[in-house]
Amino acid sequence: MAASFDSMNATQLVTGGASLVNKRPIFTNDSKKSESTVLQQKVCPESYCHSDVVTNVSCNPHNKLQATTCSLDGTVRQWDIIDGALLTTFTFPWPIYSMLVHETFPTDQFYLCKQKFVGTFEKFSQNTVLMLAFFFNLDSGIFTFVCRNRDRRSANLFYTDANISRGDKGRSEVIFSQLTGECEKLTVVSGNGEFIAGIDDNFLLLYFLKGKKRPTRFKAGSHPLTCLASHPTKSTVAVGNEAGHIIIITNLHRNIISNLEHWHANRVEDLCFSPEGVFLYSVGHECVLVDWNLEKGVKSFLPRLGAPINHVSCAASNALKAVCLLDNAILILSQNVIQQTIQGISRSKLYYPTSYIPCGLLLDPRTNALVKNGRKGHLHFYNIEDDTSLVSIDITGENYVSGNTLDNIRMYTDVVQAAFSMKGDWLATVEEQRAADIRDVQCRVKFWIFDKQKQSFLLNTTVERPHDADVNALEFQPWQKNREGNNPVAVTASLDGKFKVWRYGDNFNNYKKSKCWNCDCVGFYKDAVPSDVSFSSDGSLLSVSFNVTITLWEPDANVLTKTLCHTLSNLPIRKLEFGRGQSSHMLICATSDRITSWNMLSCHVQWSVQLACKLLISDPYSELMASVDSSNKLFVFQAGHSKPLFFMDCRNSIISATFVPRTKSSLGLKEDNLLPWQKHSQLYLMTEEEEIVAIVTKEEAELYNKKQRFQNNLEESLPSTPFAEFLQSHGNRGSGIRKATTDILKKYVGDDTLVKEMVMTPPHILPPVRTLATTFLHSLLLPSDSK
Amino acid sequence: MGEFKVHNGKFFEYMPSGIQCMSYSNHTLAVGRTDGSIDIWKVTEESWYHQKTLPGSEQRNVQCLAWVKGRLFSAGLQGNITEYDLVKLSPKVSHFYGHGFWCMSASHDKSRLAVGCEDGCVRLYKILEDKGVVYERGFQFQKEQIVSLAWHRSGEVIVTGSINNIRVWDVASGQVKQRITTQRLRRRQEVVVWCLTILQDFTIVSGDSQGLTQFWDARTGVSLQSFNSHRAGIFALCVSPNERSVYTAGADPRIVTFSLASTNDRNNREEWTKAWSSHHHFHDVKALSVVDDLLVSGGTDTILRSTALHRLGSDSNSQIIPKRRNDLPFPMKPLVQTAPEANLILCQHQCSVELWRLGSIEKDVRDFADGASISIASGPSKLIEIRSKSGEQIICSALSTCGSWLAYSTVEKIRLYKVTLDPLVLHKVPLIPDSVLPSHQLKFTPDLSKLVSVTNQCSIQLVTLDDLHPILFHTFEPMERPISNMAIPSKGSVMAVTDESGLIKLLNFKDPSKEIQTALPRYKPIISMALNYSGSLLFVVYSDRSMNEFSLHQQTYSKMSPKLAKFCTLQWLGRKQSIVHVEYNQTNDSQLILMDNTSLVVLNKQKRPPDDYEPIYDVSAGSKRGREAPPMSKVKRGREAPPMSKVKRGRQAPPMSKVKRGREAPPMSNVKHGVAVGEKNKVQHGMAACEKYKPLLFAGFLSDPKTILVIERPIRSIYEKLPPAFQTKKFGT
Repeated sequence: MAASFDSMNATQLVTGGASLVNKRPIFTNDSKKSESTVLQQKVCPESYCHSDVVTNVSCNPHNKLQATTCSLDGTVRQWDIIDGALLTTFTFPWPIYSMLVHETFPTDQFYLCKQKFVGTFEKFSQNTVLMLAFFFNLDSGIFTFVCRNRDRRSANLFYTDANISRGDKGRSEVIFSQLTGECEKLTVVSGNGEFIAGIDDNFLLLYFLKGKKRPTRFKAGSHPLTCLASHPTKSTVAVGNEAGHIIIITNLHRNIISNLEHWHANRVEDLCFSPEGVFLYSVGHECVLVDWNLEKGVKSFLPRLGAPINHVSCAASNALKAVCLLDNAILILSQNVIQQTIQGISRSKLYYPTSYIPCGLLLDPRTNALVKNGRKGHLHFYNIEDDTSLVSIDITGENYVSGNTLDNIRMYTDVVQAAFSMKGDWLATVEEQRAADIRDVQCRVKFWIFDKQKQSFLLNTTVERPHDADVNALEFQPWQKNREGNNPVAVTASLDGKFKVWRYGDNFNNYKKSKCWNCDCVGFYKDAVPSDVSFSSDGSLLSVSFNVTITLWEPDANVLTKTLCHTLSNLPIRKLEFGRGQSSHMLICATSDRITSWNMLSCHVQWSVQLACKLLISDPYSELMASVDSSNKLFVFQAGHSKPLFFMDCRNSIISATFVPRTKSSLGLKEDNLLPWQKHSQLYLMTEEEEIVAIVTKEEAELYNKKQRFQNNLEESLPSTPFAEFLQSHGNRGSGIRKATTDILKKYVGDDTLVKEMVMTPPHILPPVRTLATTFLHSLLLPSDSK
Repeated sequence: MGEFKVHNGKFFEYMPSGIQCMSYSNHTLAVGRTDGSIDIWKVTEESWYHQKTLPGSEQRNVQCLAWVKGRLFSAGLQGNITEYDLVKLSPKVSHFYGHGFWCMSASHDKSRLAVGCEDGCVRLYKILEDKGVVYERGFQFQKEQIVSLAWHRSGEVIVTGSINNIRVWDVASGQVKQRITTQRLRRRQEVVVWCLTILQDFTIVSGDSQGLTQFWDARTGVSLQSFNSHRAGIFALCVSPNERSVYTAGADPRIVTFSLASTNDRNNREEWTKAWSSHHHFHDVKALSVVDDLLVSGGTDTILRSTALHRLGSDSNSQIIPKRRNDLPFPMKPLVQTAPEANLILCQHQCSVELWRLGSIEKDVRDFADGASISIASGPSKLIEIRSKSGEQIICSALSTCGSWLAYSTVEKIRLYKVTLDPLVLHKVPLIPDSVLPSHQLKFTPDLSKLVSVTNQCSIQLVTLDDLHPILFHTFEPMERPISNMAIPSKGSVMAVTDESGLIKLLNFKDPSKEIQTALPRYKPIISMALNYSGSLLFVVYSDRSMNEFSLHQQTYSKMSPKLAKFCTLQWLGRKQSIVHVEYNQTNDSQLILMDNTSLVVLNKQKRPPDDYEPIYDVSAGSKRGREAPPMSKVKRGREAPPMSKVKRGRQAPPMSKVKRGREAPPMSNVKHGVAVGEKNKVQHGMAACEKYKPLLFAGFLSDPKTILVIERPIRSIYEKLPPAFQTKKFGT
């Protein structure tokens, strides 16, 4: 297959699924209101701010409206928190792995850098000091902490001391060497700014800033330490370790007193003291936020948070806490009540060694939302265009319980198949309960109906043990109003060799008149195992693949009408898909070495292509089909033609894909900028990292990035829900006035971007008016000149 | 092929009693148990050992103990203050005042005892110079009983804990200076302050029934700090000598440490911080005590555990698992007497003795592989059980080698029985003369002519045996100190006795008029000793586990003695358990069996001593069974019945005479291993240890010198008989 020309212009764009929980979230200082901002990487997405992974975020302790981020690309950037404007950028020649900021040292920042530095030591420290001097406009006498590493895995924390204004040469000292692990959790400044603590394997390292003595090492238990927190006022440090112990170490000046607390069964992921130091919060894989009152020796729990937790942080006002769930959600808690959930595309990776999305990517026809497996036993609805989470439906109703060790997976129930009916008013799910070593699988099929009043799916029917073995295919019949019967139909196929047709109808219950799904009929063919089912687009034909044979059935009567078989390949058929639209008479079947297209009118093979097909999807609203082969090459083709419309070599391993129809709101782009075959629907792929990738043209990608930059404007970033529109139209007076001024400006100034920018910039970050005045006046003059 | 057959019995269901209280002073630790007996432990720098036991009685409850200048006092809920005679091992004086005593404490100048009474009164008793106490005065009455009490070092202030409150008393006036109401975690639930103490800076530390450890200022009555350290009541509390650490434990058996830490604030205050905690007990901890640099704890689980304090954090910069020792609740003298000729053993319970016949194996069974177990033809059977009158506790018992005589002694008197085996008849010898004193140790002479008794007056009495009318044959001159051990040879006429200081005296029991001059060298207190068959060699084991041998003819060290010193390697001396029993092989003087509570050792003096680093005990092996491996060859450890030939395995519990008990382990592989090692080393050293059977109550030779009798008492079966402990939830269950 030759690549078609337009693949040259196409590119892959990550449009969603970025991790929200890689780094510890930080509260800004104004977290008084419930709407407090959680400052997080997401505010300044990596793609257009930093060119590499953002490693740390912190608030500037001396200007509460500013935040600082550092990144592996070697830059440190300062941001305005409210509008997300970039204030300053400082470039270091090395990747920066972490930074420590503390208010007791007004001019200090501490950076954890890892770099391959070969030059002399003086040079190294001088560079750093210069950089910082520029950065903070320092007074004389500064402290700088820089960390660098000799090899990839370890880092040294260096201490340098130089007086810049007098031009002294720096004096440097290694503070800690060989810090390994996640840099963010490795070091901490004590609450009173007295010392820096670090962890190294099972040792606690202490460096007292006053005495500037050599750092001291203390052995804390016999297990590797994982995280560290410092008491805000006392010289007390809490460390967590792999065994789930929390060791509280006090009296650091004299004889160390340590106290071991043990609740966590798995390793302690993160620790955090409350701002007054009364409570210590700890989290781990148990999905529980533990709240230790160390003085009283009492602990309280916030259990069943749904997923393992990897970070916890506490607002300075003590009113709010944030916990990061590993399934890509941040929960904001107040008084142990969840106030707000910030949900990214939820990840299933934490439950399995590798990514496992048994349902694949589905499309909810009603909202055009992407649907995938989220938390264990949930289906997650996701609006891909806004990269916002819509809803997560609990299918199994089971609480996730972590095992007593990290690799011990307990018995769980998960959704393995799901399908929507044509209009999106029915959802069918198949869930399986399996334990690590038990072969007996409990299977359940559930049918959910969409309730327009409650705007959610309600459970209609549960079928216990629908088949004697695993269900491997589930499909709704495309249902059309003018057909008689009017009852929706679904089909399941199972490894037990049978497929069953389910029909919505009267419930044969003596007590209550209701409607539910019943098994209409059972079909089988020659003792073979069905592998996939597919309905033709008008619902009149059902095809079921048995091993190498395709059987065609009349779904209403359950009559076998035809069997199709060819000799091109003797491998079993894995995927079966009817064409849609113009090619609805085509049936595509895929084995592990070729794709074959059958013409239903003549019952002949139309074409066959050798292709190790991994995924086969069809666009429900057009005749497009897409296939991904085992080496992650993407082919887009029409069912009637063997020549692909589009070809692309994907960089990442693709585990699922779907077409999403374009809605009106997303049609802001000119059609010229779109790939020709994507005019009606956009193809999204899911990579193994569970990121959503869109296939777009380069122009489109640029536009997208530009749009992201301006999204920091609050109004624009509101989701386009009816409620948001209502809010905008009935906005408060403040915004109305602002709108009015913008209108007036437009009237008099025209559409000048410079002036617009000037007016929109918050006054506190605006340079003095006199410096702006000339430019402003010039901009007013220009139009008249042109006239 | 193995050298020995092991006859393993588990039918002796000895039940020790729990620890109630402890008191330590002047290198002596007194441990009061729930049955009223008191164990006296001698603590020296290099070792500590169980010296003696004061038998208890049902009439005397020991609730608390106090040492006053080397005198031991106890008080109990039955309303008695008792002073003990540590030589006679019996109460010296007992005063009954009619109120139940909950707690007792001696003032720091040792002049007075303060007790807290059931009726809510603190009473002071003056300690008399010679013996006993006399009532001095009582403080003001309060409504609630006084459960705990402590003196301030100045002697001017006493603090008491009772229900819902803590009071600070002025000793001079007997009036309340401060009344502190304790905090209630749950409404309508009374708070009992089970334990408290007052530090020199007037800080009161209290532990209560809610599991709260609280710190108060005694002068103002203000709570300084409060820790919810335990999930159930705190029963015991103690303070380190420098008063910088406090330890608490109770129904929640974690021992929690509190240490003073500086707070780093302006006035550099120090505050109490919860530090290290340990969880070695599995049942209620009733008593805690600091013994030099050890923290000793004991409770319902009957085991005395100690933990090194210097390991607990403060000066070491790390949290190391503290080194500790556990002392099993088994007495220092074997509770089992054997009659090898008759295949009988006598088991001594607290208030009864049982005579058992050992099981036997089929006679014609031969040729066993090493480590194999031998099926038995008949299981062990209990022949006789004799209960002491009115529940008196038995101090010692004896069984003659042929099993025809049986004797035991209580605090009051000796009782003697004649046993006829076929048919089984027990005949009580009625007329024991009054001049025969109660005994601390009894033994029959091998020729069955006399009963030798160590009296409570530190003398030795010889009683002629007679069915009807035994007579007191002779009383030797008393020794200065209490006699701790006695050894009688199978043949010969000279017996050896030793006192608590380690002095050895030889006595001719056949002809008491012949006096023997003894000038054997003295070293340390002797824990156990044995004479060989002919009575010419005396083997002794000292309190530090070092061994020696004397030749009685030459009145000095035997030829083997220098070599024996080489047997005492560091590994041998480093073990904490004292050697409870030593026995010569009756046919081979160079072979001995030694036993402590966790292992038995066969010592062959002829072979070369082990090198310093050569393992005697298999240190590395984590598993309890099968680790013996050592070089030695021949003890085979078949775990129930020995490998070899004819032994019967006795362990079956009385009711069932099943032959195979499931637990016989895989003896074969073990033994093979042992042999292999032995071959490699070529010359094996002369110490073969076996830790397979434990805890051990007895290990000794049977009539066949190739058979060792081992009586085991699995600690788990002791635990099973205890009341349910405080439940803790375990994750994943």
